Amino acid sequence: MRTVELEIPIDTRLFGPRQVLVREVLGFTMTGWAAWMRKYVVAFPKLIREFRSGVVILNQHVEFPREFGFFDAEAFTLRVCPLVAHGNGRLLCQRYELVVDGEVFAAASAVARVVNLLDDKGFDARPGTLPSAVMERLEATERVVPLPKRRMPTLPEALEPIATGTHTFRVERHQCEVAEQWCYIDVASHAESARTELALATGADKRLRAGLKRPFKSIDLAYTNPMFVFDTAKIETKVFADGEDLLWVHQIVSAIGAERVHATVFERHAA
Amino acid sequence: MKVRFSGTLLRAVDYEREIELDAPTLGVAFDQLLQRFPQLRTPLLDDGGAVRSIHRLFLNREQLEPDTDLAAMNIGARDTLDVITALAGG
Repeated sequence: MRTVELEIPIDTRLFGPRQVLVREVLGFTMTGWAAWMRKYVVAFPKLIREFRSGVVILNQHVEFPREFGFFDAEAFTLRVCPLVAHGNGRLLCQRYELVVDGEVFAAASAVARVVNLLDDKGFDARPGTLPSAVMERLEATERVVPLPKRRMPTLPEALEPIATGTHTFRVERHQCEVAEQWCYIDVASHAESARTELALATGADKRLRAGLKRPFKSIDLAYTNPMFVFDTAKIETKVFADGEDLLWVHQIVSAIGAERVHATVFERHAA
Repeated sequence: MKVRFSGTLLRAVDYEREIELDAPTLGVAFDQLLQRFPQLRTPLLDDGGAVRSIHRLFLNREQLEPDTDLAAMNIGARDTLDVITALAGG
């Protein structure tokens, strides 16, 4: 199995008081992908420049199998599992794990869509497939014909929200990547702002504060329409008590062009 | 009419998100825009002069089909055209 392992020294920027920060875990998606691709297939700049292909992330799932804090080690290993190309290279899936002493304390998987650049200047792109010259560098087990199922949680039927709220925000330049499109990493941070606003509101249900003090169990993100620098949107949040867990469902919507959903975030905490 | 920009085109219109134009058709509106912002031409239009497929046009919140004859489409002072970049993902 073709994997890549990178040692990550622990520093204060990576952690909050509860656990490793979600945005940092999400940030390892592209680090891991670029490292794995460079070692086994093709480096990211070359993929874009020579093969005129790139990726946009569609879905992410993050889970935290055990508690792990800032003082628990001096470093951890970012273990990147093999990339799997589905549907003749239309969708790419990859899992990565944060590991200490052989135990996984955080793991994430991402589904990305391949886009093909249609001109030299990179002004135009459309969904496509990895070029055959790139696909040939993948091993047979890394090429899978069926497309993966979209992996987003569903709410148990008849579950009523214990709280709802709305939070508005603007996409700032420091939250964007090179093409001034929002960076997927910050979508979770926008959801966090919505959660904080609801939990800190005067008279809020005290159960909501679990969203501030408890570690995450898991987070699922689906990115459906990109936003760009200085776009504004609102986050519609619903909170559910699901057994012993607190489930936060955030939907980012705007009226840019037409009413549409840009992303959905499911956060699960122990209540 | 109003033309609103978002996404990668915003830089090409000097970050002016909403632009007022006095034009009888979308064709004239585009001519006025390109005269005012010549740097908009390359990111907005392909070599054949058509709107690049990465962009979507919404007239009064209704998406225009890619084969719409924009040049001949009549517009009024109260119409709003949104030009957005559309590529799913994060």
